[in-house]
Amino acid sequence: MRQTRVVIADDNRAMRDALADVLRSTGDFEVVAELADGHGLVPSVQETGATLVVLDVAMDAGGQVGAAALQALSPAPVVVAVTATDDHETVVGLLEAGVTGYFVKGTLGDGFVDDLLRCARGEVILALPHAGRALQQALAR
Amino acid sequence: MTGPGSATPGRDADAAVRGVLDLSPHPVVGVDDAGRVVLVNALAEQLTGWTHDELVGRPVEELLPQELRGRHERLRTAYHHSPVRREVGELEALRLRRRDGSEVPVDVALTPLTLATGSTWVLAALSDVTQRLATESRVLDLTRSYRMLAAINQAVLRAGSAVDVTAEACRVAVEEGGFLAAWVGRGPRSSMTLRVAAVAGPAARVVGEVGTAVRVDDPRLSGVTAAAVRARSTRSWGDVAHPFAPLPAAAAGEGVQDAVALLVPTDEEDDVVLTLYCHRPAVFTEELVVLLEQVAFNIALALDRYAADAAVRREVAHRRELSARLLTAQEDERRRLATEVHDEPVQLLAATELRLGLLRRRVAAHDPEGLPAVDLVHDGLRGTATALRRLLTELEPPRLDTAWDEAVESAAEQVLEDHPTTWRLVGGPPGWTPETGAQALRIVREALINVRRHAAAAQVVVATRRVEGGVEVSVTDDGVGLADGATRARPGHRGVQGMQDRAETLGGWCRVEPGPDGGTRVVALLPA
Repeated sequence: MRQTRVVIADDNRAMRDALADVLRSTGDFEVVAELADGHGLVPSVQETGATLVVLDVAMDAGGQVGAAALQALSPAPVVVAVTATDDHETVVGLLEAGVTGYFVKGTLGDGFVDDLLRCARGEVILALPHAGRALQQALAR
Repeated sequence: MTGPGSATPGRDADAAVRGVLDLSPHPVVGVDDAGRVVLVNALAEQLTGWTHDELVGRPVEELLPQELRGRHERLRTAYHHSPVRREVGELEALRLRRRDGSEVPVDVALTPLTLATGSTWVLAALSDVTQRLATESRVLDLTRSYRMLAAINQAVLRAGSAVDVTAEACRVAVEEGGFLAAWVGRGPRSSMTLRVAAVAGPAARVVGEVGTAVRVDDPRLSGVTAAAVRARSTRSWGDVAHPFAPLPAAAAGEGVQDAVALLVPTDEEDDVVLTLYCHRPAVFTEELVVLLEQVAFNIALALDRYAADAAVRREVAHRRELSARLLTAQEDERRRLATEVHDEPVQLLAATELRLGLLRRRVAAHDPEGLPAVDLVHDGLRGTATALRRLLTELEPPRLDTAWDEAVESAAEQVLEDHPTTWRLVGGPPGWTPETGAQALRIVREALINVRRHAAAAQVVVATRRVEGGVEVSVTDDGVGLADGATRARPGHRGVQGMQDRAETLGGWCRVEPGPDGGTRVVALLPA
């Protein structure tokens, strides 16, 4: 089966490394780029043909800014937020920017790789409390 | 000069009339139609210093000062053409010239007396009004002073500031008190240099303009101000100089004849002196001075009141500024903490948790018996990560760009995540500035955190309502309620002090009280 090409963008080295290791562990993903901020996202996706981006929120050009930039690409990759930030406004903002997966750091669990794979196939997973209200609000805007 | 009795109807009649007139309570002088004295009663002899016999036959004008004689003669001639009775006091006061050359102010009442011969005598009843005029003048001064006192009291009450108090006092002293000038000086105690705090009146230029510094021992001034500062009590011109010494030329040139300086006994460190200049000599009698000291006292009360008000306002402003600074420092500290927590511990925990997930999969595949141990570690890690994220939420400043109900929903969602307490929002958008909204949100969040930590509540209601003076925000829970003394800030409950500081910074207040149906209520009034 063909591997999903993933770009990881997180400004924390330990987190970035852990994400890469975990994604490589199953053989379902090919980590094609690891970025420490959001600035190189668009060229990186264009160059590598990545179809999935794991995006940190609280970093330079990350979060809503990075997601919106990626959304403008054609074809646009699936963007999954993996972040320590879970306040309502941030969640709504990211949903508006086209994020279809939302995971909170520290609560990823051993199913994270499977969840990510489902996201890559187009499923929407918002793995945080009260995501429903945020989704309704994002849709209403 | 005509001899005595030459124009009389007879010595007997003359004597009889004199006898009657001696009974009069007033000095009486009779004058014939030619203006010659025909009668002088005993009291008139006493008053004038002349005897009856010396005066009879002389022109009555000889009893007047030289400068009044011509005018009197004309008036007398006119009166003889149409003589009528005139009451004492009806004529303006006349001055009588005594035998020794001294003069005395008198009121005159005229009674025409037509004789059998057809000629007319005029009986002039005199009253010495020296005393009355002096009394009248004193009463006038006192009345004016009372009026001034009342007016100054009113003006002082109306005055909106300490500056107004002195300015109004001077204005009223001139307008109501009739003084040539009034000024209030203020300066370091016994320095002899006062800054002009206020000045008014036509002779104000003797003093100088408001704001200028005046050496009160300057020889051009009256000297009373310097004397009062030195003596630390009231001084008038009569106290500081020989009674007949002229005032300094500059003051005298403005028509100043007397001056008084009154210490304004404020509680403050400065000398405050009210100095009044008058156009009449020897005005400042003891009675008047007592009254004026009352004026000075009232001015002092007003000044002290404003000083106290200002001190209270300074204190409040100072406290507010201190609160604001504390809050800013706290926000900075929290932001720094939040950044540090976010950047290191949270990330490391998250990375570890992620790797632990990977480990768990491997253990599950190869050594399922080891799973419980891995899960134990995993649960602990997740719990720590969640607690850290909650701390982050508490530390981060609220966003200013969010609608109130959204912001409260988010705050409640975050604070009460994984907690059985439910929440409800009551009341519309309060309509305040983003800054006020941010502080209100902070207060609500602190209150919600306290609910989660201490209340064991089933429900919490966040309510806003418009009230006079602003918006009232309340957070009411149905939990265990307050322990005794928990309504005030105490160690470990930094949140309560923080809420109060936030409210006070905005000019509002915040308190923690028992809820209406048990539980606890945090209520804050924020100006909007």
